[in-house]
Amino acid sequence: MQIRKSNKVVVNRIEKVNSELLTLTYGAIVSQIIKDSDTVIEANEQLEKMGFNIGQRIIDEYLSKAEIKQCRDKIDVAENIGKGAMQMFLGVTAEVEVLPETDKIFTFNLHFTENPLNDFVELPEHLQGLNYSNMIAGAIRGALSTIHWIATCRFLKDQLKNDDKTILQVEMIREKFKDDE
Amino acid sequence: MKKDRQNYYFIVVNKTGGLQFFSQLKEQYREDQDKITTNQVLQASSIFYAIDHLTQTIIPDAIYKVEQDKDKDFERDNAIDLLITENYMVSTLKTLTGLRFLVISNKNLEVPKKHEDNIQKMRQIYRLYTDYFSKDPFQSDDQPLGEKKRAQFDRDVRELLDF
Repeated sequence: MQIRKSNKVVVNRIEKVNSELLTLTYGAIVSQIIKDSDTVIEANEQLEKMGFNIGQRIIDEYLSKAEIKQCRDKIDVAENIGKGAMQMFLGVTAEVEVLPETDKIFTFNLHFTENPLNDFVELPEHLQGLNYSNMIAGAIRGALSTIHWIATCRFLKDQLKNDDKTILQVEMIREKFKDDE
Repeated sequence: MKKDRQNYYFIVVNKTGGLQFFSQLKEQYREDQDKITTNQVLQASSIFYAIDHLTQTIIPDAIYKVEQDKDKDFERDNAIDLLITENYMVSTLKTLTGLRFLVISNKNLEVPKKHEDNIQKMRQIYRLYTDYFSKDPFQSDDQPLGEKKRAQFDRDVRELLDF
């Protein structure tokens, strides 16, 4: 049963923009945030917060263009994020690795072999603690928050830190409403 | 020659039950008829929102048992699809993010077909919705659209629904 239209059909509906513009714009944002922040931790937080706001808005865009009616299960959610949304917005797909569920927390890793935000970027010595693509982490958290999933996203490995691929770990748990037992 | 317009109103209710957008598609035929007021529509939106929650709590036992076998977090959202009265019908599309689109249209003999048609049109409007609401960083959920955007969105909606 096909829940999601094939990626090709969806991607062709999207107007494309020069990826260099995306790389440059993102780079400019990161530079400015670093200048405005006292510590690398603060910069990471700022990036994540910006991503969160984007995520809350971008989810409607994804759901409407990809014509998602209902996700079957958690794995379907993970695939929509790693393959559907990543393809639509960044033009790359991430491999989804599902980890065992513990305590109702569903965990999965997204393996990125390429990332347009990272193009041409090299992290200097004093910024080795910076999670350059933290906006993506925030965006996933923001998007999930609108559909009542509380998520935490963090980078386990980063290609900018000399790892062979970038791994983003997402832990998500259903948000319980106050009147649920 | 005037087209026989079948769709009367289009309403967008946001995820907290507030009215986000309202468009009156079919013109009033009688001069002296009172036009529906925004306040009435505001009230209708919040009442609809409440009723929508009602259908999620009075799920019949037989259906509940079937749903129990599925992953509890992905149960079918039993939100209202279609309301029918003697003279008109209200088709609803609820998005995963809690938005509700409503098309109030004429009830002819082929209700299921018209309803399906309304749903398809609302899916297209959903795509437009993201352009007008989500992509503007200054546009928040509880604020109505600015004049210019409102007129444009209204035109787009009319084009889709005023067949």
